[in-house]
Amino acid sequence: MNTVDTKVTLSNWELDNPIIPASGCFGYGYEFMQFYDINKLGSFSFKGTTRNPQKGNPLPRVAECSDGMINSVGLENPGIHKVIEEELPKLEKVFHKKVIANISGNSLADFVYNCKLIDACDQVGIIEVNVSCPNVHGGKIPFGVDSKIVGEVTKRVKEVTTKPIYIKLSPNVTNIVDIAVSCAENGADGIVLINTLQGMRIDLKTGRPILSQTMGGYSGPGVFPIAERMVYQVYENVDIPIIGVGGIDSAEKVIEMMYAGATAVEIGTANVVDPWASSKIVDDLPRVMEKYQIKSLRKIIGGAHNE
Amino acid sequence: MKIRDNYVIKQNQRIAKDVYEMILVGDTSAIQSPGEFVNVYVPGKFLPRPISVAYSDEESLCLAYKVVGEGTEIMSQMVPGEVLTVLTGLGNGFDLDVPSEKPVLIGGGMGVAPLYKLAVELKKRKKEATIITGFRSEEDIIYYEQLNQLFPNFVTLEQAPLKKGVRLVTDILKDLSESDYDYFYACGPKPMLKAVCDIALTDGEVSLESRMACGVGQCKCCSIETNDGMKTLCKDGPVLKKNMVRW
Ligand SMILES: Cc1cc2nc3c(=O)[nH]c(=O)nc-3n(C[C@H](O)[C@H](O)[C@H](O)COP(=O)(O)OP(=O)(O)OC[C@H]3O[C@@H](n4cnc5c(N)ncnc54)[C@H](O)[C@@H]3O)c2cc1C
Ligand SMILES: Cc1cc2nc3c(=O)[nH]c(=O)nc-3n(C[C@H](O)[C@H](O)[C@H](O)COP(=O)(O)O)c2cc1C
Ligand code: FES
Repeated sequence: MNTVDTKVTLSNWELDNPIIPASGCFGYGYEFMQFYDINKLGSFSFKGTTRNPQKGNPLPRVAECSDGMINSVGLENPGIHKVIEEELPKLEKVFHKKVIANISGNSLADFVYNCKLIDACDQVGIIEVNVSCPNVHGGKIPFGVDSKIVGEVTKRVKEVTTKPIYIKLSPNVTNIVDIAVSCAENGADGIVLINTLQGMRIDLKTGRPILSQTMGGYSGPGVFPIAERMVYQVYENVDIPIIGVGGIDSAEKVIEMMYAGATAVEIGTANVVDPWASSKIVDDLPRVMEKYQIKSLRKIIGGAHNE
Repeated sequence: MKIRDNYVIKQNQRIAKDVYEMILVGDTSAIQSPGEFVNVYVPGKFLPRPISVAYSDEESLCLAYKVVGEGTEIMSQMVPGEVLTVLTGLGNGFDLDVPSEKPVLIGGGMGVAPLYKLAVELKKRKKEATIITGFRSEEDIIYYEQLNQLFPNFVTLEQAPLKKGVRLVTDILKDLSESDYDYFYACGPKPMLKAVCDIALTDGEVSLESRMACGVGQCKCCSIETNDGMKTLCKDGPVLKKNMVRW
């Protein structure tokens, strides 16, 4: 019998545990039933979904790093309508919890359109708004770099939705706190930190960039200290829950991220290198809690900030 | 079904220039058809290396790999008794159910590796295949005898002295007529595969390659646009039917 309590609460939604596979690394979930019963997860965040289907970028889309990977998938997805009509019904057959809907957009109007549609889906527990995507009306500069624009996105999607809105921020900014504060001031129900860091690799055989897009998003264990630092900083400045994501690949790192201020965590790249990664972390969590004499995960959230 | 497990290296020896053959002992029950691949978790490397199954039976699987970078270099230095984590049962392999009695198998370079298991399976099914394999030079040749024992195996060398022999697999394919083959299976460099598809007189299928990450169709790092929409090379491929591929 487990004596430890792994439950956490995100905006009145109680999760059995804080383990949430991250967007882009877990498809639309049901595919992972071939590996394990995904109902053991707290929840998961589905692939970044845009208004229209997107084909993504040409290959190569991935480059290896010593402690992670760089991807330039380019938000390949079937579009919001197909997700609602085909993917979510497939998921509903096997997953009996609510899902986190990761929403992307190339314009403010897209975000509003997508969030309004997904808000009507009973299966969705939280809408996770990914503001790392390029704004086609803003010179293709990502929404996420400007606190005013992020605030505007937050305000507009809040106006058309009833479900909790969590804004997933890009770490490729000068001041993450300003941006998180702007989300909170404009009504965000939570913050998700962090998306991938911009990076690149060059192939020594050709002297040319490996990725077709030259640059891509760096993720994996190498980004963990940066994600943790950002969660720590943001926790001190906002009162809404934070989901910590970036480089988590063990129950130890889950707990560390929660001490920094995360209420729950997302696991991305770890699932890419091992399809069972999130399941193993769920299994291992009670052992690590006992090792560090943690009875309830809720009690450690932000613990590192205590005097 | 996919299995991620530890496999014991039984043998790891050089079989051609920079090419090694590794025999791994462990659970092979996830491996279904020739043309499938496995993800090798090379110690010290973040992403797994996709390598085709050259051959497999109930207790072992065999990989033929070329040392091209750091990961394959590390693999080449491993010795029998050491353990490798491998994810097996990946990808969509060659289709053995196509109505074909005398297929032609065309392989270029390391693309010959998965043709070995394919040839074995075709022999079991009493097909009359022809094999054409192409290499850069003589020291690059792999699986000549193994293949030639099963079916006639024509070898071409890109760097063959001009008077001696043909240089490209397509030179031989061009000389075959519709009575010589009724289907083709091909694996090798992309330009070769495209040329084969252009020249071949019949339907067929090709095994494509790309940089990959998850190997199970979830990260979309290996997606390409086909005539049937976006497909992942690690799950929907690596083998795709000729008429699906957009070159
Ligand atoms: C489905 C499939 C089957 C394959 N089967 C074989 C085989 O049977 N024998 C064989 O010798 N090779 C095979 N390859 C190619 C093999 O995966 C690469 O040569 C190998 O990954 C190179 O690793 P490295 O660490 O030595 O090179 P590095 O350049 O150090 O690798 C860096 C990264 O790039 C990736 N990478 C580099 N070159 C390639 C490439 N050509 N294809 C895919 N990824 C690459 C690596 O996996 C790694 O993630 C196959 C590739 C695929 C996609
Ligand atoms: C292949 C891949 C695809 C991703 N796709 C998305 C996406 O569609 N939407 C999104 O918000 N984040 C996406 N991400 C970012 C992850 O969700 C996560 O924020 C990031 O990778 C950091 O966490 P990690 O180090 O645990 O992977 C993707 C990451 C990877 C590696
Ligand atoms: S490598 Fe992840 S989808 Fe193919």
